[in-house]
Amino acid sequence: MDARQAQRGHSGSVRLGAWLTHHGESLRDALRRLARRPLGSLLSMLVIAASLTIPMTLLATLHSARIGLAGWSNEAALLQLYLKPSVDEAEGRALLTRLKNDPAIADARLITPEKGLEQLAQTHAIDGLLSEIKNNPLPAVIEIHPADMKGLDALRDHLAALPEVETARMDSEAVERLRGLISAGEQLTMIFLAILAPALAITMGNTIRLELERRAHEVRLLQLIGATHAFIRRPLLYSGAVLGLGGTLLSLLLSMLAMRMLVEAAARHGWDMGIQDTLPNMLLLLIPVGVILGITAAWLASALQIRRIRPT
Amino acid sequence: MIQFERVSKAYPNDQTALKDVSFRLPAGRMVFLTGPSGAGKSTLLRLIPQIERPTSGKVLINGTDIGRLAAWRIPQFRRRIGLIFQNPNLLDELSVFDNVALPLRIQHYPREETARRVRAALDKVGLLDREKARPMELSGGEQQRVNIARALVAKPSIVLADEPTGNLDPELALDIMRIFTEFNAAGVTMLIATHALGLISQFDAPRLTLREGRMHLENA
Repeated sequence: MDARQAQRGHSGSVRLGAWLTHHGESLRDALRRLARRPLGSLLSMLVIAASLTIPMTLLATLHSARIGLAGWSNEAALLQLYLKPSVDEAEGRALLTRLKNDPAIADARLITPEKGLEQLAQTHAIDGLLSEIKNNPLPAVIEIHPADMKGLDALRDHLAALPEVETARMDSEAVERLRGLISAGEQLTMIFLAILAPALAITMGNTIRLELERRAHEVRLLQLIGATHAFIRRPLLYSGAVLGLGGTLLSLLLSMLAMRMLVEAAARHGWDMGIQDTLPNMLLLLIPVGVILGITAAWLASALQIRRIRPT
Repeated sequence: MIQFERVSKAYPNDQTALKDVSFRLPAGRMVFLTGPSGAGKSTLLRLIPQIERPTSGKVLINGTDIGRLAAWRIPQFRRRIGLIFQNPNLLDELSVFDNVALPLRIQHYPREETARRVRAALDKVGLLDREKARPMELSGGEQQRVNIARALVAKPSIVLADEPTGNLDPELALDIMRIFTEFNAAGVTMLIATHALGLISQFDAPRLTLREGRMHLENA
Protein backbone atom coordinates (compact mmCIF):
# COMPACT_ATOMS: atom_id res chain seq x y z
CA MET A 1 0.00 0.00 0.00
CA ASP A 2 2.87 2.42 0.81
CA ALA A 3 4.26 2.45 -2.71
CA ARG A 4 0.84 3.13 -4.16
CA GLN A 5 0.26 5.78 -1.61
CA ALA A 6 3.46 7.50 -2.63
CA GLN A 7 2.46 7.20 -6.27
CA ARG A 8 -0.74 9.04 -5.66
CA GLY A 9 1.05 11.56 -3.55
CA HIS A 10 -1.34 11.36 -0.61
CA SER A 11 0.21 11.73 2.77
CA GLY A 12 -0.38 8.91 5.22
CA SER A 13 -2.58 11.08 7.40
CA VAL A 14 -4.86 11.97 4.49
CA ARG A 15 -5.23 8.27 3.73
CA LEU A 16 -5.86 7.48 7.37
CA GLY A 17 -8.52 10.17 7.41
CA ALA A 18 -10.16 8.64 4.36
CA TRP A 19 -9.96 5.21 5.94
CA LEU A 20 -11.58 6.47 9.14
CA THR A 21 -14.24 8.18 7.04
CA HIS A 22 -14.83 4.81 5.43
CA HIS A 23 -15.39 3.29 8.88
CA GLY A 24 -17.92 5.99 9.65
CA GLU A 25 -19.62 5.31 6.33
CA SER A 26 -19.61 1.57 7.04
CA LEU A 27 -21.35 2.14 10.36
CA ARG A 28 -23.91 4.45 8.78
CA ASP A 29 -24.40 1.95 5.97
CA ALA A 30 -24.93 -0.86 8.49
CA LEU A 31 -27.49 1.18 10.44
CA ARG A 32 -29.29 2.20 7.26
CA ARG A 33 -29.55 -1.40 6.11
CA LEU A 34 -30.78 -2.61 9.49
CA ALA A 35 -33.31 0.22 9.54
CA ARG A 36 -34.47 -0.70 6.06
CA ARG A 37 -35.49 -4.10 7.39
CA PRO A 38 -36.72 -3.12 10.84
CA LEU A 39 -38.77 -6.25 11.39
CA GLY A 40 -36.01 -8.68 10.43
CA SER A 41 -33.42 -6.76 12.45
CA LEU A 42 -35.73 -6.52 15.44
CA LEU A 43 -36.52 -10.23 15.22
CA SER A 44 -32.83 -11.10 15.21
CA MET A 45 -32.26 -8.87 18.21
CA LEU A 46 -35.28 -10.36 19.96
CA VAL A 47 -33.94 -13.88 19.45
CA ILE A 48 -30.65 -12.78 20.99
CA ALA A 49 -32.46 -10.92 23.77
CA ALA A 50 -34.84 -13.78 24.54
CA SER A 51 -32.09 -16.35 24.82
CA LEU A 52 -29.97 -14.07 26.98
CA THR A 53 -32.78 -12.91 29.24
CA ILE A 54 -33.31 -16.24 31.00
CA PRO A 55 -29.72 -16.71 32.16
CA MET A 56 -29.40 -13.01 32.88
CA THR A 57 -32.49 -12.93 35.07
CA LEU A 58 -31.24 -16.04 36.79
CA LEU A 59 -27.89 -14.41 37.44
CA ALA A 60 -29.56 -11.26 38.70
CA THR A 61 -31.84 -13.25 41.00
CA LEU A 62 -28.97 -15.26 42.39
CA HIS A 63 -26.97 -12.09 42.90
CA SER A 64 -29.90 -10.53 44.66
CA ALA A 65 -30.40 -13.65 46.74
CA ARG A 66 -26.80 -13.41 47.82
CA ILE A 67 -27.35 -9.88 49.07
CA GLY A 68 -30.68 -10.84 50.60
CA LEU A 69 -29.05 -13.78 52.32
CA ALA A 70 -26.52 -11.47 53.88
CA GLY A 71 -29.25 -9.35 55.48
CA TRP A 72 -31.34 -12.29 56.49
CA SER A 73 -28.52 -14.18 58.14
CA ASN A 74 -27.31 -11.28 60.27
CA GLU A 75 -28.84 -12.72 63.41
CA ALA A 76 -28.08 -16.27 62.52
CA ALA A 77 -24.51 -15.96 61.49
CA LEU A 78 -22.19 -16.12 64.41
CA LEU A 79 -18.52 -15.66 64.49
CA GLN A 80 -16.89 -17.58 67.28
CA LEU A 81 -13.55 -16.53 68.62
CA TYR A 82 -11.74 -19.30 70.52
CA LEU A 83 -9.40 -17.55 72.89
CA LYS A 84 -5.97 -18.86 73.71
CA PRO A 85 -5.80 -20.91 76.98
CA SER A 86 -3.32 -18.36 78.34
CA VAL A 87 -5.95 -15.61 78.20
CA ASP A 88 -7.61 -15.24 81.57
CA GLU A 89 -11.11 -14.02 82.24
CA ALA A 90 -10.11 -10.38 82.88
CA GLU A 91 -8.27 -10.25 79.58
CA GLY A 92 -11.22 -11.90 77.92
CA ARG A 93 -13.59 -9.26 79.28
CA ALA A 94 -11.25 -6.47 78.18
CA LEU A 95 -11.25 -7.92 74.66
CA LEU A 96 -15.04 -8.20 74.78
CA THR A 97 -15.36 -4.49 75.62
CA ARG A 98 -13.04 -3.59 72.77
CA LEU A 99 -14.98 -5.75 70.35
CA LYS A 100 -18.32 -4.26 71.41
CA ASN A 101 -16.96 -0.83 70.47
CA ASP A 102 -16.00 -2.03 67.00
CA PRO A 103 -18.52 -0.63 64.48
CA ALA A 104 -18.26 -3.80 62.42
CA ILE A 105 -19.67 -5.79 65.32
CA ALA A 106 -23.30 -5.52 66.34
CA ASP A 107 -23.04 -7.54 69.52
CA ALA A 108 -20.58 -9.76 71.31
CA ARG A 109 -20.90 -12.19 74.23
CA LEU A 110 -18.29 -13.91 76.29
CA ILE A 111 -18.68 -17.56 77.19
CA THR A 112 -16.20 -18.51 79.87
CA PRO A 113 -14.89 -22.10 79.94
CA GLU A 114 -17.13 -22.80 82.96
CA LYS A 115 -20.23 -21.52 81.24
CA GLY A 116 -19.28 -23.43 78.15
CA LEU A 117 -19.06 -26.62 80.11
CA GLU A 118 -22.47 -25.94 81.66
CA GLN A 119 -24.03 -25.42 78.25
CA LEU A 120 -22.41 -28.56 76.97
CA ALA A 121 -23.75 -30.52 79.93
CA GLN A 122 -27.25 -29.18 79.36
CA THR A 123 -27.40 -29.91 75.70
CA HIS A 124 -25.75 -33.28 75.73
CA ALA A 125 -26.79 -34.74 79.04
CA ILE A 126 -23.37 -35.96 79.87
CA ASP A 127 -23.30 -34.79 83.48
CA GLY A 128 -21.68 -37.88 84.77
CA LEU A 129 -18.95 -37.83 82.27
CA LEU A 130 -18.18 -34.17 82.80
CA SER A 131 -17.85 -34.51 86.53
CA GLU A 132 -15.02 -36.89 85.85
CA ILE A 133 -13.05 -34.15 84.09
CA LYS A 134 -10.73 -32.41 86.46
CA ASN A 135 -9.42 -29.69 84.20
CA ASN A 136 -11.90 -27.90 82.02
CA PRO A 137 -10.60 -28.45 78.47
CA LEU A 138 -12.84 -25.80 76.92
CA PRO A 139 -11.41 -22.46 75.85
CA ALA A 140 -13.10 -19.17 76.52
CA VAL A 141 -15.24 -18.21 73.55
CA ILE A 142 -16.52 -14.84 72.34
CA GLU A 143 -19.58 -15.03 70.14
CA ILE A 144 -19.90 -12.19 67.71
CA HIS A 145 -22.87 -10.88 65.69
CA PRO A 146 -21.41 -8.94 62.86
CA ALA A 147 -23.02 -5.63 61.94
CA ASP A 148 -22.85 -6.42 58.26
CA MET A 149 -22.45 -9.67 56.40
CA LYS A 150 -20.59 -8.19 53.51
CA GLY A 151 -17.18 -7.97 55.10
CA LEU A 152 -17.64 -11.12 57.09
CA ASP A 153 -14.61 -12.92 55.76
CA ALA A 154 -12.42 -9.88 56.24
CA LEU A 155 -13.75 -9.42 59.78
CA ARG A 156 -13.00 -13.03 60.61
CA ASP A 157 -9.47 -12.72 59.31
CA HIS A 158 -9.00 -9.51 61.25
CA LEU A 159 -10.25 -11.05 64.49
CA ALA A 160 -8.28 -14.25 63.99
CA ALA A 161 -5.14 -12.16 63.92
CA LEU A 162 -5.78 -10.68 67.42
CA PRO A 163 -3.16 -11.87 69.92
CA GLU A 164 -5.78 -13.22 72.35
CA VAL A 165 -7.50 -15.30 69.70
CA GLU A 166 -6.53 -18.85 68.88
CA THR A 167 -8.96 -19.38 66.02
CA ALA A 168 -11.99 -17.62 64.59
CA ARG A 169 -14.76 -19.84 63.23
CA MET A 170 -17.92 -19.00 61.43
CA ASP A 171 -20.91 -20.71 62.89
CA SER A 172 -23.21 -20.31 59.97
CA GLU A 173 -23.23 -23.62 58.24
CA ALA A 174 -26.72 -23.28 56.83
CA VAL A 175 -25.94 -19.86 55.45
CA GLU A 176 -22.73 -21.17 54.00
CA ARG A 177 -24.53 -24.03 52.37
CA LEU A 178 -27.05 -21.66 50.82
CA ARG A 179 -24.24 -19.47 49.66
CA GLY A 180 -22.58 -22.49 48.10
CA LEU A 181 -25.83 -23.31 46.36
CA ILE A 182 -26.00 -19.78 44.97
CA SER A 183 -22.42 -20.04 43.76
CA ALA A 184 -23.21 -23.34 42.08
CA GLY A 185 -26.26 -21.74 40.46
CA GLU A 186 -24.15 -18.86 39.21
CA GLN A 187 -21.57 -21.22 37.79
CA LEU A 188 -24.25 -23.29 36.13
CA THR A 189 -25.72 -20.16 34.56
CA MET A 190 -22.30 -19.13 33.31
CA ILE A 191 -21.88 -22.54 31.71
CA PHE A 192 -25.33 -22.13 30.20
CA LEU A 193 -24.26 -18.76 28.79
CA ALA A 194 -21.10 -20.27 27.38
CA ILE A 195 -23.14 -22.92 25.59
CA LEU A 196 -25.58 -20.28 24.42
CA ALA A 197 -22.87 -18.05 22.93
CA PRO A 198 -22.21 -20.17 19.82
CA ALA A 199 -25.94 -20.52 19.22
CA LEU A 200 -26.29 -16.73 19.34
CA ALA A 201 -23.30 -16.37 17.03
CA ILE A 202 -25.02 -18.69 14.57
CA THR A 203 -28.24 -16.65 14.75
CA MET A 204 -26.40 -13.41 14.09
CA GLY A 205 -24.19 -15.03 11.48
CA ASN A 206 -27.27 -16.23 9.64
CA THR A 207 -28.77 -12.74 9.64
CA ILE A 208 -25.52 -11.42 8.19
CA ARG A 209 -25.43 -14.22 5.63
CA LEU A 210 -28.94 -13.35 4.44
CA GLU A 211 -27.98 -9.69 4.26
CA LEU A 212 -24.99 -10.63 2.13
CA GLU A 213 -27.20 -12.79 -0.07
CA ARG A 214 -29.51 -9.83 -0.64
CA ARG A 215 -26.49 -7.73 -1.52
CA ALA A 216 -24.98 -10.28 -3.89
CA HIS A 217 -25.43 -7.89 -6.82
CA GLU A 218 -23.54 -5.16 -4.99
CA VAL A 219 -20.86 -7.56 -3.76
CA ARG A 220 -20.25 -8.75 -7.32
CA LEU A 221 -19.92 -5.20 -8.57
CA LEU A 222 -17.53 -4.29 -5.75
CA GLN A 223 -15.42 -7.33 -6.53
CA LEU A 224 -15.30 -6.32 -10.19
CA ILE A 225 -14.05 -2.83 -9.50
CA GLY A 226 -11.37 -4.18 -7.18
CA ALA A 227 -12.78 -3.91 -3.66
CA THR A 228 -10.95 -6.10 -1.17
CA HIS A 229 -12.86 -8.62 0.93
CA ALA A 230 -12.07 -6.47 3.95
CA PHE A 231 -13.82 -3.49 2.33
CA ILE A 232 -16.89 -5.54 1.42
CA ARG A 233 -16.98 -7.09 4.86
CA ARG A 234 -16.63 -3.93 6.91
CA PRO A 235 -20.27 -2.77 6.87
CA LEU A 236 -21.31 -6.33 7.70
CA LEU A 237 -19.04 -6.36 10.75
CA TYR A 238 -20.74 -3.17 11.87
CA SER A 239 -24.13 -4.82 11.29
CA GLY A 240 -22.97 -7.68 13.53
CA ALA A 241 -21.81 -5.24 16.20
CA VAL A 242 -25.13 -3.38 16.08
CA LEU A 243 -27.09 -6.65 16.27
CA GLY A 244 -25.01 -7.79 19.24
CA LEU A 245 -25.36 -4.43 20.98
CA GLY A 246 -29.10 -4.19 20.34
CA GLY A 247 -29.67 -7.79 21.42
CA THR A 248 -27.80 -7.46 24.70
CA LEU A 249 -29.33 -4.08 25.53
CA LEU A 250 -32.78 -5.49 24.83
CA SER A 251 -32.08 -8.50 27.03
CA LEU A 252 -30.88 -6.21 29.85
CA LEU A 253 -34.16 -4.37 29.54
CA LEU A 254 -36.17 -7.60 29.56
CA SER A 255 -34.20 -8.90 32.53
CA MET A 256 -34.90 -5.70 34.44
CA LEU A 257 -38.61 -6.08 33.70
CA ALA A 258 -38.51 -9.71 34.79
CA MET A 259 -36.75 -8.78 38.02
CA ARG A 260 -39.27 -6.04 38.76
CA MET A 261 -42.14 -8.46 38.23
CA LEU A 262 -40.45 -10.99 40.48
CA VAL A 263 -39.98 -8.42 43.23
CA GLU A 264 -43.57 -7.25 42.94
CA ALA A 265 -44.89 -10.80 43.00
CA ALA A 266 -42.76 -11.54 46.07
CA ALA A 267 -43.99 -8.39 47.79
CA ARG A 268 -47.63 -9.30 47.11
CA HIS A 269 -47.05 -12.54 48.98
CA GLY A 270 -45.50 -10.60 51.81
CA TRP A 271 -42.24 -12.29 51.16
CA ASP A 272 -39.31 -9.99 51.46
CA MET A 273 -36.09 -11.79 50.97
CA GLY A 274 -34.42 -8.52 50.13
CA ILE A 275 -34.39 -9.23 46.41
CA GLN A 276 -33.74 -6.01 44.55
CA ASP A 277 -34.96 -5.08 41.12
CA THR A 278 -31.61 -3.69 40.07
CA LEU A 279 -29.25 -5.65 37.89
CA PRO A 280 -25.77 -6.38 39.13
CA ASN A 281 -23.08 -4.36 37.37
CA MET A 282 -21.51 -7.61 36.31
CA LEU A 283 -24.24 -8.00 33.69
CA LEU A 284 -23.05 -4.79 32.00
CA LEU A 285 -20.08 -6.89 30.93
CA LEU A 286 -22.45 -8.74 28.64
CA ILE A 287 -22.72 -5.66 26.41
CA PRO A 288 -19.15 -5.78 25.09
CA VAL A 289 -19.39 -9.57 24.99
CA GLY A 290 -22.51 -9.27 22.81
CA VAL A 291 -20.81 -6.77 20.51
CA ILE A 292 -17.71 -8.93 20.13
CA LEU A 293 -19.89 -11.98 19.52
CA GLY A 294 -21.78 -10.09 16.80
CA ILE A 295 -18.58 -9.00 15.08
CA THR A 296 -17.14 -12.51 15.25
CA ALA A 297 -20.32 -14.00 13.82
CA ALA A 298 -20.39 -11.44 11.00
CA TRP A 299 -16.74 -12.07 10.26
CA LEU A 300 -17.20 -15.81 10.03
CA ALA A 301 -20.40 -15.60 7.99
CA SER A 302 -18.94 -13.12 5.54
CA ALA A 303 -15.63 -14.96 5.25
CA LEU A 304 -17.54 -18.04 4.18
CA GLN A 305 -20.04 -16.22 2.00
CA ILE A 306 -18.03 -13.57 0.11
CA ARG A 307 -15.86 -16.26 -1.44
CA ARG A 308 -18.95 -18.00 -2.73
CA ILE A 309 -20.23 -14.88 -4.48
CA ARG A 310 -18.24 -14.65 -7.68
CA PRO A 311 -18.29 -11.76 -10.10
CA THR A 312 -20.23 -12.48 -13.26
CA MET B 1 -0.53 -3.97 -23.01
CA ILE B 2 -2.84 -6.94 -23.34
CA GLN B 3 -1.34 -10.18 -24.60
CA PHE B 4 -3.06 -13.54 -25.12
CA GLU B 5 -0.82 -16.57 -25.70
CA ARG B 6 -2.64 -19.60 -27.11
CA VAL B 7 -5.58 -19.12 -24.80
CA SER B 8 -8.39 -21.66 -24.80
CA LYS B 9 -11.45 -21.64 -22.64
CA ALA B 10 -13.80 -24.58 -22.33
CA TYR B 11 -16.87 -24.60 -20.10
CA PRO B 12 -17.89 -27.64 -18.08
CA ASN B 13 -20.73 -28.42 -20.51
CA ASP B 14 -18.04 -29.16 -23.09
CA GLN B 15 -18.77 -26.01 -24.99
CA THR B 16 -15.50 -24.45 -26.13
CA ALA B 17 -15.72 -20.67 -26.06
CA LEU B 18 -12.18 -19.82 -27.14
CA LYS B 19 -9.80 -21.92 -29.19
CA ASP B 20 -6.10 -21.19 -29.21
CA VAL B 21 -6.44 -17.41 -29.26
CA SER B 22 -3.29 -15.32 -29.48
CA PHE B 23 -3.02 -11.58 -29.94
CA ARG B 24 -1.15 -8.60 -28.63
CA LEU B 25 -2.65 -5.19 -28.00
CA PRO B 26 0.04 -2.58 -27.27
CA ALA B 27 -0.58 -0.02 -24.55
CA GLY B 28 -2.52 3.05 -25.61
CA ARG B 29 -4.22 1.41 -28.59
CA MET B 30 -7.90 1.07 -29.28
CA VAL B 31 -9.19 -2.11 -30.84
CA PHE B 32 -12.67 -3.38 -31.67
CA LEU B 33 -13.47 -6.98 -30.96
CA THR B 34 -16.18 -8.14 -33.33
CA GLY B 35 -17.91 -11.33 -34.31
CA PRO B 36 -21.37 -12.87 -34.15
CA SER B 37 -23.09 -13.51 -30.83
CA GLY B 38 -21.69 -16.53 -29.10
CA ALA B 39 -18.34 -16.24 -30.87
CA GLY B 40 -16.56 -15.82 -27.54
CA LYS B 41 -16.21 -12.02 -27.29
CA SER B 42 -17.54 -11.83 -23.73
CA THR B 43 -15.46 -14.79 -22.66
CA LEU B 44 -12.32 -13.15 -23.98
CA LEU B 45 -13.04 -9.94 -22.10
CA ARG B 46 -13.88 -11.78 -18.89
CA LEU B 47 -10.51 -13.50 -18.90
CA ILE B 48 -8.70 -10.17 -18.51
CA PRO B 49 -10.01 -9.06 -15.08
CA GLN B 50 -9.91 -12.68 -13.89
CA ILE B 51 -13.66 -13.12 -13.81
CA GLU B 52 -12.86 -16.35 -15.64
CA ARG B 53 -9.62 -18.26 -15.90
CA PRO B 54 -8.39 -19.81 -19.14
CA THR B 55 -8.43 -23.59 -19.51
CA SER B 56 -5.03 -23.34 -21.17
CA GLY B 57 -2.70 -20.63 -22.36
CA LYS B 58 -1.58 -17.39 -20.75
CA VAL B 59 -3.03 -13.92 -20.41
CA LEU B 60 -0.43 -11.20 -19.82
CA ILE B 61 -1.32 -7.67 -18.79
CA ASN B 62 1.56 -5.20 -18.96
CA GLY B 63 3.88 -8.19 -19.04
CA THR B 64 2.46 -9.89 -15.95
CA ASP B 65 1.00 -13.38 -16.27
CA ILE B 66 -2.24 -12.75 -14.42
CA GLY B 67 -2.84 -16.47 -13.97
CA ARG B 68 0.01 -16.36 -11.46
CA LEU B 69 -1.41 -13.48 -9.43
CA ALA B 70 -2.05 -14.39 -5.81
CA ALA B 71 -5.73 -14.13 -4.85
CA TRP B 72 -5.08 -11.18 -2.55
CA ARG B 73 -3.50 -9.20 -5.41
CA ILE B 74 -6.51 -9.54 -7.69
CA PRO B 75 -8.45 -6.59 -6.19
CA GLN B 76 -5.44 -4.30 -6.72
CA PHE B 77 -5.06 -5.60 -10.25
CA ARG B 78 -8.73 -5.03 -11.09
CA ARG B 79 -8.51 -1.41 -9.99
CA ARG B 80 -6.33 -0.69 -13.00
CA ILE B 81 -9.02 -1.95 -15.39
CA GLY B 82 -12.20 -0.10 -16.23
CA LEU B 83 -15.09 -2.43 -17.02
CA ILE B 84 -18.10 -1.41 -19.04
CA PHE B 85 -20.74 -4.03 -19.71
CA GLN B 86 -23.91 -3.87 -21.71
CA ASN B 87 -25.88 -3.86 -18.48
CA PRO B 88 -24.95 -0.63 -16.64
CA ASN B 89 -24.87 -2.52 -13.34
CA LEU B 90 -25.56 0.53 -11.18
CA LEU B 91 -26.60 0.34 -7.53
CA ASP B 92 -30.13 1.67 -7.25
CA GLU B 93 -29.86 2.71 -3.61
CA LEU B 94 -26.96 5.06 -4.38
CA SER B 95 -27.09 8.40 -6.18
CA VAL B 96 -25.37 8.88 -9.53
CA PHE B 97 -22.53 10.64 -7.71
CA ASP B 98 -22.07 7.80 -5.22
CA ASN B 99 -22.20 5.18 -7.96
CA VAL B 100 -19.41 6.90 -9.86
CA ALA B 101 -17.46 7.42 -6.62
CA LEU B 102 -17.39 3.70 -5.75
CA PRO B 103 -14.03 2.86 -7.40
CA LEU B 104 -12.45 5.76 -5.48
CA ARG B 105 -14.17 4.88 -2.21
CA ILE B 106 -12.79 1.36 -2.25
CA GLN B 107 -9.32 2.86 -2.58
CA HIS B 108 -9.94 5.30 0.28
CA TYR B 109 -9.48 8.45 -1.74
CA PRO B 110 -9.89 11.63 0.30
CA ARG B 111 -13.31 13.20 0.10
CA GLU B 112 -12.29 16.34 -1.79
CA GLU B 113 -10.35 14.49 -4.43
CA THR B 114 -13.19 11.98 -4.81
CA ALA B 115 -15.65 14.81 -5.41
CA ARG B 116 -13.34 16.53 -7.88
CA ARG B 117 -12.74 13.37 -9.89
CA VAL B 118 -16.36 12.24 -9.85
CA ARG B 119 -17.50 15.64 -11.15
CA ALA B 120 -14.80 15.59 -13.85
CA ALA B 121 -15.93 12.12 -14.97
CA LEU B 122 -19.61 13.11 -14.94
CA ASP B 123 -18.75 16.24 -16.89
CA LYS B 124 -17.02 14.12 -19.54
CA VAL B 125 -20.16 12.05 -20.10
CA GLY B 126 -22.42 15.12 -19.91
CA LEU B 127 -24.23 14.23 -16.70
CA LEU B 128 -22.82 16.77 -14.28
CA ASP B 129 -26.31 18.11 -13.56
CA ARG B 130 -27.66 14.65 -12.65
CA GLU B 131 -25.27 13.77 -9.83
CA LYS B 132 -28.01 13.69 -7.20
CA ALA B 133 -30.40 11.56 -9.28
CA ARG B 134 -30.99 7.87 -8.63
CA PRO B 135 -30.15 5.45 -11.44
CA MET B 136 -33.84 4.53 -11.79
CA GLU B 137 -34.67 8.12 -12.71
CA LEU B 138 -32.28 8.01 -15.67
CA SER B 139 -32.85 6.85 -19.22
CA GLY B 140 -30.98 3.80 -20.56
CA GLY B 141 -28.49 5.99 -22.34
CA GLU B 142 -27.86 8.09 -19.23
CA GLN B 143 -27.38 4.97 -17.14
CA GLN B 144 -24.81 3.69 -19.59
CA ARG B 145 -22.99 7.00 -19.44
CA VAL B 146 -22.92 6.78 -15.62
CA ASN B 147 -21.47 3.31 -16.05
CA ILE B 148 -18.77 4.75 -18.33
CA ALA B 149 -18.01 7.57 -15.87
CA ARG B 150 -17.60 4.95 -13.12
CA ALA B 151 -15.24 2.89 -15.30
CA LEU B 152 -13.08 5.93 -16.04
CA VAL B 153 -13.09 7.80 -12.74
CA ALA B 154 -10.11 5.96 -11.24
CA LYS B 155 -8.08 6.59 -14.44
CA PRO B 156 -7.53 2.96 -15.41
CA SER B 157 -4.80 2.14 -17.91
CA ILE B 158 -7.06 -0.39 -19.64
CA VAL B 159 -10.78 -0.13 -20.41
CA LEU B 160 -12.77 -3.16 -21.49
CA ALA B 161 -16.23 -2.62 -22.92
CA ASP B 162 -18.65 -5.44 -23.76
CA GLU B 163 -21.39 -4.30 -26.13
CA PRO B 164 -21.45 -0.86 -24.50
CA THR B 165 -23.94 0.48 -27.02
CA GLY B 166 -26.09 -2.61 -27.21
CA ASN B 167 -29.22 -1.03 -25.74
CA LEU B 168 -28.83 2.44 -27.16
CA ASP B 169 -30.19 4.24 -30.18
CA PRO B 170 -27.64 5.03 -32.92
CA GLU B 171 -27.11 8.65 -31.95
CA LEU B 172 -26.34 7.82 -28.30
CA ALA B 173 -24.16 4.94 -29.42
CA LEU B 174 -22.12 7.31 -31.54
CA ASP B 175 -21.76 9.68 -28.57
CA ILE B 176 -20.42 6.90 -26.42
CA MET B 177 -17.95 5.77 -29.05
CA ARG B 178 -16.73 9.37 -29.27
CA ILE B 179 -16.17 9.39 -25.52
CA PHE B 180 -14.12 6.22 -25.92
CA THR B 181 -11.93 7.69 -28.65
CA GLU B 182 -11.33 10.73 -26.43
CA PHE B 183 -10.11 8.50 -23.65
CA ASN B 184 -7.98 6.52 -26.02
CA ALA B 185 -6.46 9.79 -27.17
CA ALA B 186 -5.53 10.40 -23.53
CA GLY B 187 -3.50 7.17 -23.55
CA VAL B 188 -5.98 4.55 -22.27
CA THR B 189 -5.82 1.10 -23.87
CA MET B 190 -9.32 0.29 -25.10
CA LEU B 191 -10.72 -3.09 -26.06
CA ILE B 192 -14.31 -2.77 -27.18
CA ALA B 193 -16.43 -5.79 -28.03
CA THR B 194 -19.35 -5.01 -30.28
CA HIS B 195 -21.28 -6.40 -33.19
CA ALA B 196 -22.37 -2.96 -34.35
CA LEU B 197 -20.26 -3.07 -37.49
CA GLY B 198 -21.95 -0.06 -39.04
CA LEU B 199 -21.08 2.04 -36.02
CA ILE B 200 -17.43 1.07 -35.75
CA SER B 201 -16.83 1.51 -39.45
CA GLN B 202 -16.90 5.25 -38.68
CA PHE B 203 -13.86 4.90 -36.45
CA ASP B 204 -10.33 4.32 -37.49
CA ALA B 205 -9.34 1.45 -35.25
CA PRO B 206 -8.19 -2.11 -35.96
CA ARG B 207 -10.61 -4.99 -35.56
CA LEU B 208 -10.11 -8.39 -34.03
CA THR B 209 -12.76 -10.80 -35.17
CA LEU B 210 -13.80 -13.92 -33.31
CA ARG B 211 -15.60 -16.69 -35.15
CA GLU B 212 -16.49 -19.86 -33.30
CA GLY B 213 -13.84 -19.16 -30.75
CA ARG B 214 -11.01 -18.49 -33.18
CA MET B 215 -9.32 -15.16 -33.74
CA HIS B 216 -9.07 -13.44 -37.09
CA LEU B 217 -7.17 -10.22 -37.46
CA GLU B 218 -8.57 -7.55 -39.78
CA ASN B 219 -7.35 -4.07 -40.73
CA ALA B 220 -4.61 -4.27 -38.13
